[in-house]
Amino acid sequence: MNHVPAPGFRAGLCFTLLAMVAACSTTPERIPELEQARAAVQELEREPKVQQAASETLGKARAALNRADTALEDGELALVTHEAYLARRQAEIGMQLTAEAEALEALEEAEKRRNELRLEARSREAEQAQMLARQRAAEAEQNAREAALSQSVAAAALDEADRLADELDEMEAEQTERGIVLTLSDVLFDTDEAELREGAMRAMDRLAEYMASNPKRELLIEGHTDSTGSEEYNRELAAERASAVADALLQRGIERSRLRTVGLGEAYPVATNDTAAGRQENRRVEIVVSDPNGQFPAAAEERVTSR
Amino acid sequence: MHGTGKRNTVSCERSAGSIVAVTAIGLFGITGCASTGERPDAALATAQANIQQAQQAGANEHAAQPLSSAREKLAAAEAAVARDEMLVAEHLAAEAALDAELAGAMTRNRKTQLAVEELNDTIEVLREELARGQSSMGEMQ
Repeated sequence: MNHVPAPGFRAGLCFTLLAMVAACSTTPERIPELEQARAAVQELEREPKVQQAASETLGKARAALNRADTALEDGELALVTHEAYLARRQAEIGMQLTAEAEALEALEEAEKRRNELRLEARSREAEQAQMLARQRAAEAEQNAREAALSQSVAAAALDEADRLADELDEMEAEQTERGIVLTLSDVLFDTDEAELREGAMRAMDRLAEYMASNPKRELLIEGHTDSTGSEEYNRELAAERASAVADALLQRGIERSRLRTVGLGEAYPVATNDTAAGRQENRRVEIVVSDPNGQFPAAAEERVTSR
Repeated sequence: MHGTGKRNTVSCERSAGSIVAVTAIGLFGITGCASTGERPDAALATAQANIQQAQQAGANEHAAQPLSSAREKLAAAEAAVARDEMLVAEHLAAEAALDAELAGAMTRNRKTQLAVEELNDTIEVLREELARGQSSMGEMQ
């Protein structure tokens, strides 16, 4: 099988091959695909983010472009087109990578902005909650002030009751839900009599003085008895004793219009009727003093009108 | 018994006396980069993998054009393999691989852009809510 070819034949073959190569290199210089690829690579090179996001891809694109140029020099047209295609594709991939890098940056910025806004929204909510809390606190404070005011009014009323008690030393004065109530005890009356004893006169003087210097105040005079005797009798006695007090005040110049009397009888005991001491406590006249405007608390009115 | 000729071994000074070998080289030159060589398995596999990746990323939706180009070229490469045109097959496979890579890159880029748009919408909503909150705050005060 091994036979040596004639030298002439070998030389001819070599010539043929050289001619083939020469023929290939006479191809046109400008190939549209190659120029498009070059433009694409240049476009990628101009991208600001190319080094950061697509340097490797740019390297591959340039290498393919170089191979295409070399192939063109070698006259290998099919290879030129192929390498140009690869170069162009790499450049396009690079463009996508840089665009994505920019989008990622924008995404990061947007996330930052969103977080700021969320924080702002949250602190706004907190602020609103605080404002609400402040409003409630202010309301509470207002309520407390009002409560304190009414307490101090009550305290003033108590003071008033104490002062009255001081002034009317024969009488007990206390602050009740019916207002200031002065109690004339049984000992100021004769037994079973509606006559005020001598000892009550000084109390009447003081009460009249008080009424004179508080011209708008009115009095509600209630007569009370113990449960001894008939109810009717007790009510009558109670009414008479109340009237006796009113008369004493009338005599001292207090207008009748400022005085109301009522006989409540045995209906409102303050102590037991089983003992002498309790019965004595129950026999009494209560004088309810109105507020400075002549008004009585509802509780006081109720007791009088319920009869 | 005679090695298959490769272009880079071509030399007129070659003393190996094998007409068959030289003729094979000549034939290769004539058919012009179109045939012989080994089956481009690596290039075909890369193209296949890139196509799959792009599909999984969602290229069907976001980069249909380069993806279908990649598929067509891969099919053409396989056809070339069947015709024993291995170099053609290799080139087609390489182009298919880059088509698919472009499809994947386009898809990722598009998705990122969409995420930016969505986030910007969210920001707009938040801003509006804040603006409303501001005015309702004004009412409270």
